Amino acid sequence: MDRARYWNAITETMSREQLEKLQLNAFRKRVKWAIDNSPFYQKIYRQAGIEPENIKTMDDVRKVPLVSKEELRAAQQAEPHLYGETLAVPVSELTAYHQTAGTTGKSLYVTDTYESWQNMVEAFCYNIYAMGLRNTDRVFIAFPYNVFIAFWVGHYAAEKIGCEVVPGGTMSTRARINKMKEVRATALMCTPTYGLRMAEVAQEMGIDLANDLAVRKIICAGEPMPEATRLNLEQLWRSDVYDHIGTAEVGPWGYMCEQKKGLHLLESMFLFEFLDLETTSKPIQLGEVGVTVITTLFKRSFPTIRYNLKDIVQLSARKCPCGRTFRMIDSIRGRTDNLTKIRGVLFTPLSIEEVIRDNFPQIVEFETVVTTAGTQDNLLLKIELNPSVNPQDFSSIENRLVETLKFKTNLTFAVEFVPQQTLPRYEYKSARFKDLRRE
Amino acid sequence: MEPENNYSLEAIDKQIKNIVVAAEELKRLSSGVPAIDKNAEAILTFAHILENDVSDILELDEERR
Repeated sequence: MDRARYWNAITETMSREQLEKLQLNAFRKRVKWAIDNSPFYQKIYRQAGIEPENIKTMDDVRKVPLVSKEELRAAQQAEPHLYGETLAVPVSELTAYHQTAGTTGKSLYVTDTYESWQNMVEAFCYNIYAMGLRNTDRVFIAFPYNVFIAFWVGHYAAEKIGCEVVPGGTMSTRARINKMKEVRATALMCTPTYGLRMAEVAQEMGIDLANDLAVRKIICAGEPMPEATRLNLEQLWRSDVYDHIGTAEVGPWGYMCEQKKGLHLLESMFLFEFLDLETTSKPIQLGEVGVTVITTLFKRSFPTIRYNLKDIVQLSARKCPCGRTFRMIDSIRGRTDNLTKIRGVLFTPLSIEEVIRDNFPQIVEFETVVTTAGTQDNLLLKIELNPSVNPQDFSSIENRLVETLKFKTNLTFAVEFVPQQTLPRYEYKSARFKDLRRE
Repeated sequence: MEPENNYSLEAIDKQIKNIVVAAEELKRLSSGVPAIDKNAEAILTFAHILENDVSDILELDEERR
């Protein structure tokens, strides 16, 4: 075995039996820590009669109550200020503050000790090493370095594996592209949306991404990336594009390896459960779609134990030729809190992106607005086309788009062509779906 | 120095334990000098990550025996 192919060959190639024992041991320790130190978990575990020493199998794990973001948020309203009952270490041990993006409500405050932060960094090292980043890479980070965790951890992980890190900070998109060209960055970290945006701006600047820049690997995070979007980015940048998944509350938990087929689950640092969408109580089978429940196995400051991430994923039946024994997910299908009913049809906004990126390269940007007229839901898709598109082709594009969307979602969309540069552009998470029915 | 072909978890674990002992001793000897205290804590942090990667796995093997 070529051990240098893995960040940690000891854990990444260990037997399933050993791995599951390791996870159960660590899970028990986390539950014990939470009972001893976290007022939030103390309350719910005492009520449920949870005793760490009785947790011996995955069936026992499933007896531990699930925890949601809403519950953590509510527990943060208590004293001490900021973290309330979710804090499980003395304030003097805290060294890092971050918060969730607040896309599903008020932001959740997340804190780390120096040790838990270094574990977050370690987790991200698994990710980027598997994607092929090495100490010869110069990594440009296109991220505004603010309270959102995103690529903070990517920055430190790249540094740890020995890359040279170029912080993109508060630069404009044009300045970032020029800087990447100037320093000959070989890798880039950004959200998928922003990767597309940079490609658009580079084109306006007359820069050929394939020949004028040295970027050969792009690491994306921050929002779900349909395979069509990943392939689109690969084509625009002539680079390998990798997906990674993580959140501020739990850390970076899934990553693509160089095979670029699905995401490995970082099972030595997290315990994963994939449960049925309807009841969130039964484990799903390989190939099925379910909701992700996760336990961070290394966090003391802000424990996340059986945390319902609400990410909908398809559990892979594939065995990756890379040799990692960690289980895999095929795709991220969205979030349970983004699922909505339109005209009685269950709908996820991610399906629009899948249709557009897969079939309509001429669409530069889009936005969907749902409104109500009387009892009827109306769906309007606003699109911006590439300036090279002939206006005579608008009608055929519209017809094909409506037809493809109908096939994919079972819903009929109205389409509006809007002038160039009128739809918002995003540097971080995109917000292309506006549901105005409740306003 | 060339890396060894076959690693020994026991040998690695032994060195991790030595590091932990030495870093804790450094903390004890720091007599309130932050530069020693905090750097010793940082060493302990990374030693704990190594414990997760190696010592915890070794513990499983020992349990099995």
